[in-house]
Amino acid sequence: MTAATRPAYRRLYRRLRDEILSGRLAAGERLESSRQLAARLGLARGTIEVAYQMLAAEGYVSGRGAAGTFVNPVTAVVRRSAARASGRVTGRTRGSGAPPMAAGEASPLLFRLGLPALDAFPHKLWATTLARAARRSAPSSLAYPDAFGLWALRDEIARYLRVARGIACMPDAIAVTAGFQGALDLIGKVAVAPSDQVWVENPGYPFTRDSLAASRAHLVNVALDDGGLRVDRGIAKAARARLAVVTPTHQFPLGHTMPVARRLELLDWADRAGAWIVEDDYDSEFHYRGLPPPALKSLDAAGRVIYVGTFSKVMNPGLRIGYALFPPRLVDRFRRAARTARSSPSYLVQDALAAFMTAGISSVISPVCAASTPSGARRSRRRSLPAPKDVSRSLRAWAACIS
Amino acid sequence: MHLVMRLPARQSDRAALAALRRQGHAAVALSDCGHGAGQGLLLGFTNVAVDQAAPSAERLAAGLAERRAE
Repeated sequence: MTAATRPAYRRLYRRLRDEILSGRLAAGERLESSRQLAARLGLARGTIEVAYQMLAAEGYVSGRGAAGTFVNPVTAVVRRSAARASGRVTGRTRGSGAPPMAAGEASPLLFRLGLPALDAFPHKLWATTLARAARRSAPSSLAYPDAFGLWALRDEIARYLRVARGIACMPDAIAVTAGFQGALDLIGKVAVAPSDQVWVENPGYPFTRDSLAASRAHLVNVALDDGGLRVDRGIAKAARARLAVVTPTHQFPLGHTMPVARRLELLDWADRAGAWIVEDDYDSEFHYRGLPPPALKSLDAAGRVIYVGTFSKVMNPGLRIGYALFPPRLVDRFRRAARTARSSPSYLVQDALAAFMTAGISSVISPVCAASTPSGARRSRRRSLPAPKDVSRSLRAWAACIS
Repeated sequence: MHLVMRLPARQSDRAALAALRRQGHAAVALSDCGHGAGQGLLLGFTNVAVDQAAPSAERLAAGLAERRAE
């Protein structure tokens, strides 16, 4: 595909990326708003937003809510890698001993964690959906939004959680957040006081540790076994902990699934200790057969679990949309905190996402995954994704290649 | 969405990662995920195109071999 025949969003993405890599757009600099840039270039606003999302997904920029989108620092290493990837090999890199890469062959972000198939994301459909959302927006949607986010999206999320995760819930207990980070920030404000003990999995997700440490929580590392977090070890170290953060469906990073007996043990501890459990269900949509195991939250009779999900894996991380489902007795406290945080994503994006979910919900195995994502679409069409045994074979070949 | 590649205990995953980053790889060191987690690399594979999987793995292997030879 030549530069001239590339879609507009792709040309814009490349142009901005080159500006960032060359340093002409400096770290900390604010990108023009999508509305302004669309008007200036004579492009649809959705086109600009897709380009910005691609840049965000690759780490070149970050959205900061209403403040705008800002350029991230780019290291010299990334600059050199990008130059190699686009065929602009400098004398310095040529002498580095690294194998040559053909133009467009490699990405500086190869093997980066948590990225879905960004190249297969349905940008055109997403841009159209965004544009439709903008056209139908009523004046009321231009006012200050609900602290918990757009009702239509929360309704779709509730439906998804009931169908795919086995959780009995209603949209009034769901908040749309700025990704997992936004949810954890809120939880840190409401459910954790300084020096409260918090169980974290060891090993676990580094960002969770960093975020809770910023809330001045006292982190208690709890060892794992094949069933995930060892509740007995947690009790031995800090029986009166205030909070436990777990990844029961796919433990991060080791991938264990917590068996039902362990889940019940964890819920029993939380009920007796008056503690809260944060269920980080970051990638349950990714599985090869049938439905994933029901969420821990689906067993939560005592109302001790705060469930957190994200669209970063099934859509893309550039959207910065996640959600949290709160136990009934915490809803009001979280609503008050969300009013001051004001961190939910733009209504326009939420509206488009709700439309995306609505459009696909009837035809799929795993509603969000198959309706909204290229990975899911591939899976539901059984076209691009290999069968599990083939995947297993490929991964073994991969591992053999590496070792 | 990712693989865990264990490294021998004597091999520093952070050092291996630094070498791989010079090649444009963006893995994560297992030791950054907790105490006593061992040495290893977390490799995201869901954003690697099917036709790029094998060459990517070969480049990764070459990068690690280069690191071992240093």
